[in-house]
Amino acid sequence: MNRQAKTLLVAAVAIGWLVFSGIKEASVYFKYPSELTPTVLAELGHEELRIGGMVAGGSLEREGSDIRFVMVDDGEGQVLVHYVGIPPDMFAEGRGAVVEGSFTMEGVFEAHTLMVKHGEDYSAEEHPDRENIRSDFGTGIPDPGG
Amino acid sequence: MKVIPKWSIAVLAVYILGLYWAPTDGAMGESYRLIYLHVPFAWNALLGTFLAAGAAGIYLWKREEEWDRTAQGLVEASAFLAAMALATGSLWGRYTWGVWWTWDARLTTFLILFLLLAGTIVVRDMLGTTPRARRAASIVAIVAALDVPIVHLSVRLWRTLHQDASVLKPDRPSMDAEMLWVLLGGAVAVGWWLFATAGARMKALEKVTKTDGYIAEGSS
Repeated sequence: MNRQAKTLLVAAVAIGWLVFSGIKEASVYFKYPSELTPTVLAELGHEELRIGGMVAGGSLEREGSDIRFVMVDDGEGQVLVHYVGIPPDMFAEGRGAVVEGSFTMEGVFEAHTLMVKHGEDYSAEEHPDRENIRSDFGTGIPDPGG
Repeated sequence: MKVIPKWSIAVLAVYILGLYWAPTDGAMGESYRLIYLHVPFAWNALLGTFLAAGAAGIYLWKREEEWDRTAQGLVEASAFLAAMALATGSLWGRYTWGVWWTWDARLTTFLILFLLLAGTIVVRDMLGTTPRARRAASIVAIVAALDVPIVHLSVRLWRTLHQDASVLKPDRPSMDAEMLWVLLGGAVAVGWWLFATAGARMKALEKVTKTDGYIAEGSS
């Protein structure tokens, strides 16, 4: 192995590792409602965070652009979210969502950004988004099997 | 008169099918049709990067300029496809997710891929037509290819806003058959563009090499 090949190998491995670990570092793109235990919430305070889950059935209240809903996952956790704005067309009860914002003193999550998280299924039929029926919005680490 | 390239007919045919023949998605509506642009661009950007790195590797090993031209042609075409994938993805994201951009793992790793491809072009541009430039560009191209599997697996490895793979996964594709055929047709059509463009670029580079002063291997 000549010098150049060695340099190449070292550079490639180093940069590859940097990219990988850098992303791993910022890997928790959102937290599940179940992960927001009282201890975690106390630590968070009014810090900015993202929460991902499902819009609970029967929880959505809309008055113009004033939106309130409960976000749930497969676990016990639930978060009351308040958002003012126009949500994307796909936003609905029983669908996935990711919100950005922070908790108020009252424990309501005040979201400044509301995003729809949809599944990977495409079909002409009125299909329930599989994001809801499989346990993607579970707790802890997403299972490797998807 | 210049002949219309064959790939353009394939691309047009697939997009007409995608717009008028493929059914509307039950959950997403018409905006899902952006898949026929976004996914073929993204897949072929990944494929082109992978092949470019292979050519770059052979160049580093054999030091034959032909392989370097192959890598350069593929890198440039892939960079364009990656930019198009980002642009169409952004539009689609705004429509369905509600945002033009978010720093989730899929978007971030793909942006890194584009930046590495752009970096390969910049490195070559800065160092001129020297063996040093060719070696440096080869190395960056190989590093870009290391990001390819990370891009693909990003939606499995991390929590993301971007959904999981619909087609390139161990289970059967989660798409209606008509949709899947158009998508695969789109991938082939854009792939055709990739190879036609990379090939044309290689030929153009060969001409430049012969007419311009090209600093050959071993003279620096």
